[in-house]
Amino acid sequence: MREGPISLMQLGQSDWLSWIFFIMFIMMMQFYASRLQAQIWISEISRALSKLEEYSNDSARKFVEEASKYGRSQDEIRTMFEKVRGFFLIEPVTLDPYGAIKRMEHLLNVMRSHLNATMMEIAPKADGWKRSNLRDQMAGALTLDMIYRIIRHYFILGRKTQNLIYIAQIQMLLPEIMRIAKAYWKAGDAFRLGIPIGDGIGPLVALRLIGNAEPSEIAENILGAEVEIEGRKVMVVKAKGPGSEVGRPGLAIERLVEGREGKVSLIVTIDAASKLEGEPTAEIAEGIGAAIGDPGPEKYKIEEVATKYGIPLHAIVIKEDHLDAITSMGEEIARSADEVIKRVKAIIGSKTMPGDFVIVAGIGNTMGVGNKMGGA
Amino acid sequence: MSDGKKKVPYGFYIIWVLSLAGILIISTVFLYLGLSNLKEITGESFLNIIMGIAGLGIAAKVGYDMFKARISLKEEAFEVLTELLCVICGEKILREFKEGDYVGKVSEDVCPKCQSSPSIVAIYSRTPKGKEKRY
Ligand SMILES: [Zn+2]
Repeated sequence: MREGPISLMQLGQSDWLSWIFFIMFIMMMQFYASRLQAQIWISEISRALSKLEEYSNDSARKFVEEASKYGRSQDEIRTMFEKVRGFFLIEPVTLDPYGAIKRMEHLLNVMRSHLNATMMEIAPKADGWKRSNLRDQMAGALTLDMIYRIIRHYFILGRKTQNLIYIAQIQMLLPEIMRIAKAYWKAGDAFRLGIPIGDGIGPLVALRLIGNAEPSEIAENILGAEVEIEGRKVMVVKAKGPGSEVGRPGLAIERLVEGREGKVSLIVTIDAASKLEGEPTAEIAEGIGAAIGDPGPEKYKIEEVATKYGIPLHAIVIKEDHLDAITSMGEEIARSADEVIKRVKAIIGSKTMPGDFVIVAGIGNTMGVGNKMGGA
Repeated sequence: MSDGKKKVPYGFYIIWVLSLAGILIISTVFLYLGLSNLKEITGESFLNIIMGIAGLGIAAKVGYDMFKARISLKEEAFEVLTELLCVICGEKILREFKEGDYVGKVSEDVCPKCQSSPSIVAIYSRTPKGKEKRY
């Protein structure tokens, strides 16, 4: 008789206790949820960071390994590489925009010759072709190093301050950052082996148009060859291959037009352009203007000289993911060259008369793409 | 070429498997306790069932993550191909890319039909659907 109420009371007590624990647990979760979230994100960033470090170190190691085949020891190259790490270009002031393009052009020229001189020291025995590939392989490794440093900066800042904003920002950008980093990491191998990259579709089309014609140098690392297309004299311009080179197409077009005192009927530029998500790779689009993705000076020169003489500017772009542009050229992009050539011919046929002079420029990195068919 | 990628962190795997097993055991115990007391529904048995289900859910998620990670650690398929065309007889040859190849080059290869030297007309990477390219 006495046991009944007691056992009931005991049961009620343990029931109460578990409810109290449960509610306390929920409250604690509420209280610590943001802390916990921050911790989860921090560990995610930390994992990504070690992956980034791996990418960065791996591409630097591969660069040193590859460069050491051309006259210097790995230790010497490593020291020189450490010196170039953190290399930067300070963009010119645009507060007073007068001459900003000229100043930018000057800075880019200085940077190019500086990097080339550095490569000369790092790989004295490499030929020009290999040296430019090495230079851009190094540029990829430097970019990865930069990405790693920036992410590390925000990671340490976020961990130090426990500021959810810092952490959340990085965590949300992480998938895209990792995608870019991976592309740069893969690009290293393409540059090491000299495989054409997606950006090379412009020069590839130019090479197809040049065929067996004999090219000659027009401007720094830019070649041109005159061919006949449907009765028009067409000067086809591309960067000097097969090393990793974009050259100065703007300067070349300016010289060509000035050399003919403006007697040019049409300028067509062909370049890879970044596609929107959802658009098919290697989709071809036509438009007006200069299709060229340089920091400014080259595009400026083309627009300037075309405006001066009233030459129509037509553009053909081949759409691709901006990460495809720096890694090996995909089959569908390479195959699109035939269709681009058809489009070029159609534009020339409809916009000019037989006997006219036309400039067609294949813009982009010419790595792995030669200068004429069946020859160098 | 991607030696850096092949390092599988074994310690990480062991921790993963152990925690997965732990969660599984604990959640089954909870579920058992909850279900065996089901005759009289008390707060405790209700709580046990919830804990058990949540635990199983977490275990499923951890297992799925592990499965996914294993897949991504597998070697990625890729190939870079060089397409050659013999100008004399029009024979097309497709082979793997070799260092030193570039579009427009007269290759050292020999045309199987007429023994002359074919030219390289295209170099591209081919990636099977759903795979990532390696270069
Ligand atoms: Zn043949």
